[in-house]
Amino acid sequence: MTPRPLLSVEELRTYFRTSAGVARAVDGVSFSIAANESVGVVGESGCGKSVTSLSLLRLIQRPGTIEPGSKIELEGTDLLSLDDESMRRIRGNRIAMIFQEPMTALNPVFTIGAQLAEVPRVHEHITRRDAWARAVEMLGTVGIPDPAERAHSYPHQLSGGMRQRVMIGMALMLSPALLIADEPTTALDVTIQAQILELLAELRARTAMSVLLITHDLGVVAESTSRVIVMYAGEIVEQAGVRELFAQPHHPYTEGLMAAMPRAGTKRERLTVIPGAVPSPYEWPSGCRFHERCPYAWERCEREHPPLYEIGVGHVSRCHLAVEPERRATPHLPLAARAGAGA
Amino acid sequence: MTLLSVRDLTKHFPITGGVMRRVIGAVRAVDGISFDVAQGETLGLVGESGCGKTTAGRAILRLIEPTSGEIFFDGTDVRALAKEPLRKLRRKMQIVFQDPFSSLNPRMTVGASVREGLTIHKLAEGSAADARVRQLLEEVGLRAEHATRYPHEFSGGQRQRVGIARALAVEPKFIVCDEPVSALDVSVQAQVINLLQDLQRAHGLAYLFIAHDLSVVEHIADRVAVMYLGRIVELARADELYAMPLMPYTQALLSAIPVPDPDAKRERIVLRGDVPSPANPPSGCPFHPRCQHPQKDAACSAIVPPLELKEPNHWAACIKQLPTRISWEEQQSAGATRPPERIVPVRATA
Amino acid sequence: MLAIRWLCAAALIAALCAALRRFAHGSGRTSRARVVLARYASHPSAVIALVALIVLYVVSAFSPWLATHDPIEILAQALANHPPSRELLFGTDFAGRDVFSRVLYGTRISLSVALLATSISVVLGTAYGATAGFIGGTLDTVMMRLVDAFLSIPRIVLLIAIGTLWAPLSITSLILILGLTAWFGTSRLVRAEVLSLKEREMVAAARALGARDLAIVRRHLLPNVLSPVIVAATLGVAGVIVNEAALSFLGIGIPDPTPSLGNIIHDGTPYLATAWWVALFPGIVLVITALACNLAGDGLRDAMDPRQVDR
Repeated sequence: MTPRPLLSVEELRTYFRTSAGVARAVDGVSFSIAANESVGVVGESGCGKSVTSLSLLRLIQRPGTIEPGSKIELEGTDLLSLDDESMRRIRGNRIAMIFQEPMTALNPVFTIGAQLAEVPRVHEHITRRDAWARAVEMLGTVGIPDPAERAHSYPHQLSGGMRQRVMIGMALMLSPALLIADEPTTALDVTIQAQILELLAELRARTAMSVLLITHDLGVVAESTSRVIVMYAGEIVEQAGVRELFAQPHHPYTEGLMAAMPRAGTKRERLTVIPGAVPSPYEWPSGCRFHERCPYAWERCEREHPPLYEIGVGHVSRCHLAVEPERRATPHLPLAARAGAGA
Repeated sequence: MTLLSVRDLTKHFPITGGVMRRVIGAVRAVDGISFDVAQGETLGLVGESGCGKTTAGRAILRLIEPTSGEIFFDGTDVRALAKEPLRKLRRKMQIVFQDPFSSLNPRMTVGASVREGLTIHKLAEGSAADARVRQLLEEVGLRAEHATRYPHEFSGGQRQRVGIARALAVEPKFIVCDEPVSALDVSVQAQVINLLQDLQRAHGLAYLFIAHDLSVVEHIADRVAVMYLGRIVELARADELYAMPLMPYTQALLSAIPVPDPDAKRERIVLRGDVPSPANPPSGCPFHPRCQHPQKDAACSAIVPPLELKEPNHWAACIKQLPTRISWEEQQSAGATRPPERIVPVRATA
Repeated sequence: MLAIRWLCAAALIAALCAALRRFAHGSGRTSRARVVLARYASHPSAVIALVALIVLYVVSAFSPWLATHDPIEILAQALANHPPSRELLFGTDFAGRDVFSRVLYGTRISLSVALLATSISVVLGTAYGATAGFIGGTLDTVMMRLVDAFLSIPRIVLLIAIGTLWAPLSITSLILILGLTAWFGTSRLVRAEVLSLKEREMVAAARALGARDLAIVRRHLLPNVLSPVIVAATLGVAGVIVNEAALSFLGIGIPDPTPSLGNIIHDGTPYLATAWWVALFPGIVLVITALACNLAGDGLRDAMDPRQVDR
C-alpha cells in the first residue's frame, strides 16, 4: 500500500462564466504531491497553470467557479467542502503561496518585520514581542543580511531579490506543508534567480515541506524539481519524472517546447517552432486540443480526445501516439502552419 | 564594413533633491561604452536589469540624448545632427521594443501603425502605400487583411510582428532590438527569433540585440558585449565568450542560466548580494564586492579596470587576468597582495 | 393632437434605445465602441441613467411641440399659483405661467447651456493640459501652479463674483463664464494622462520613425486621452447644470422671463409653503438630470477602462 499523498487533486475543473461564454481554464486536472516532494508545472501563458494553483487555495474570484465534481484533498481533508473560516486557517498554515511580483503582494505602508509578525498573530495566540522575534528569525532563515536591522525596512527599500526572500519568509512563518511558488523567479535577474532557487531547495531539505513550482522555464524545472507536469489548454498533457521527461519527452507539445528553446549548438540555425498560438479557453479545439499545431496529427486526433495513456513507470501522456507509435516516423506540416498566420 | 561605431558613450541622469531641485548626484546609467557593429552583423548586448543596456540602445538612436561620447552611423556623426537631418536619418536606424502592448497605439489599426513611417518619409502614398503595408504584414508572417484590425485583437507574438513590420517599413540598415522576445512564450519566442534571422538575411540588416536571456543571445548574436553597472566588462565572439568567459561576472552570469537537462553536471557560481545602485557604484572595479575571482584583493576596489585585449579578439575588464596594462607595481601601490594570472576557464558544455 | 405628438416622442425614444441595444449586442467583428457599449450595458444603473438622459434630451429638444402652453405667457392673473390639475399638469407659478411648459423649455435651456459650456471647458482643458504635459519642465510647473491657484478658489464664489460684475448676463456670456471656469480639472487630468502616455514605447517608436512633435501629439497622445476626457465631460455636464441653476437661483444667471431649471425654482421658493409645485417639479428634473449624468459618467468610466476592455 502506498502512503497517502500530501495533496491529491482529482478532476479539478475551474470555469469562468462571462458574457462571452464559458472559459474552461482548468478542465479536468488530476495529480498528487507526496510529502517533501518538489513538483513542477510547466506550460505557456493561458494553459491554466496559474488558475490551477489559485484553485488549490480556493482563491478563485467571481466569475470563476470550481465546478462540482472536482476534488482537492490535503492531508485527508476535503478542501472543497470546508467553510470559509476553516479554509482561511488552511491558507498560510498548511498551504502557502508566493507570487511572481513580490512588490504587489507586500503592503507598502508596513515594515517587512511587521508584515511577517502579523502572520502568526492572526493564526495563534502569541505576544507581539514573540511574533517580532520569530519574524526576525525567519528573515535570517531566508538569507536577509542583518535581519534585526532589516526588519524595520519598508518593501520599497529592498531589491527585487530581497523582496522575494521576504515573501518566501512570510509564506513559511507557519511552517506550511505545501508551498506553491507561481513563477517565483520570472521577474528576477538570472543571478538572483539562482539565489532564490538555491534558497527554496535548501528550505525544502531542511523542513520537509513540499513545493509546487509553477513556471514557463524548462531550465528552472530541470534544476529544481523531481517530477514534472506539462499543461496545455487547461489539461495535463504529460507527466513524468524529471529525468525521464527530458530524456524521452512523449507528447509532441513537450517535444516542441524543448526544441523551441535556443541553446548551445543551435547557433544561427532556424529554431524549431510550434506554429500558431495557444487556443482560446472559450472554445478548445475538438479532439486532441493540440492537433492543429501538431506535426504528427492524423484524423483520429481531430475526432477523439486522447486520454492520459500510461507509457512508462509514472509517465503518462495525452497523445494517441502511445497506441500508434509508428506515426511518429512521418511528421508533416501542422494545420496551424498551413493557415499562414504566425502567432 | 563598420556601420555603427560608438565611442565612450555616457548617459548620466541627474538626481535632484531638496526644494530648489538642485542636482545632488547622477545615475551613471551608461558610463563610457565603446563598440562597433558591422553591416549585416548581430551584436548582442547582455546584462541584468539596471545595467544600462536599454539606455545604451536608446542613446545610440538619440531617443535619449547622450551626455557625452561619439556615435558614427554610416559615416555620419549622429550626435552633431540637428533635429531635421536627425529625423531623416531615423529612416536608417530603427528600434523594436520589448513590450508589444505599450509599443503599439491601441487607437490605431495595425495597418495605420505600419504605414506611419511610409507617410513620414514620403516613401509611398495612397494605394501604393496600401500595397506596401500588405506586403510588409505578409513578410512578417501576418495576413494582409490584418491591416484593418486593432492591436487588442492580436496575441503578444502577433503584436511583436507588427512592431517589426513598422520598423521594416522605412527600409533601415540597422535595428536596435530591445528585448524583443522577453515578453513572449517559449514557442512564440522561437517564431520571432526565426523571423528576425530571416529578415536579417533577406535585407542585410545589422542588429544590436539587447537581452537579459543569455541563451537567446548565444543563438542569435555573432559577437556579444556584457554590461555591468553601465560599463562593458567583456566583449568577444559569441562562441568564444560562452566557451571561455574571462571576466568573473560573465562566468557567474553564464553559470546561473538554468539548463534544461537534469543530468547536467556543472559548478554553479551563486553570486552573493545584489547589483549595486548605479547612483552609487562601488569604487574601482564595479563588480568587486560580488567577485569570486581567486586573486581578488585591495587593488580591485581602487583601480577601474580598462576593457583590454586578453586573447585574440576577446576583450575583458579585469586587472587580475593577464595580460593587463595595469602593471604589478601599479597594483601593489594600490594595495594588491595577489598577482594577476592568466586563468583560462573552460566552461563545461552540456 | 398633443397626445399624438407625445406618442411620437415616446416612439423616437424607444427607437433610439433599441438601436443602441442592437449595436451593443450585434454580431460581427467587435469594434472598440461596441465592446465599450456592451460593457456599459452590463451596469443596470448606468443603463437607466442613459435611458433617462435620452428621454430628457428628446423631450427637451421637441419642447415647442410638446409643451401645453407658452412658457412665458401669463395665462390669467386669476390663475396665479394654481395647483396641478388635468389642464395644468404642474400647476402655475406666482405670475400665472404654466410650470409644465416652463420646465420643458427650462430643461432645454439648462441642457444646452451645460453642453456648450462643457464643450468649451473640454477643448480648453485638453489643449492646456496636453501642452503642459508634453512640453514639461518649467513651463509645465508654471502652468500647473496657475491651475492650482484657480482651483483653490471655490467655483461658485468665482462665478458669483464674475456674474455680479458682468450683470446682467446674456445667455452667451453665461455659457462663456461657465465654460471658462470649468476646465481646470480637465487640464490636470489630461496632463497626467499625457505624462504617462509620453513614456509609453509607442511614442518612442513614433519618434524613432522620425515623426514630428505635433504629429505625435495628434496621432498618439490625444486619441488616447479621449476616453478619460469623455468621462470627465459627462460628469462635468452635471456640475455645470447645477452651477447654472445655482446662479439662476441667485438671480444672476439666465435672465427672466426665459425659463431655466434654476430660475423656475427661484420663482417658486417664496411660495414653498403655499405653492410647493412650482419649485418641486423643476427640482425633481434637476436632480434626475444631474444624477443621470453622474451615473452615466461612472458607467462610461468602467466601460472604457482599457484594462478591462483588453481582456
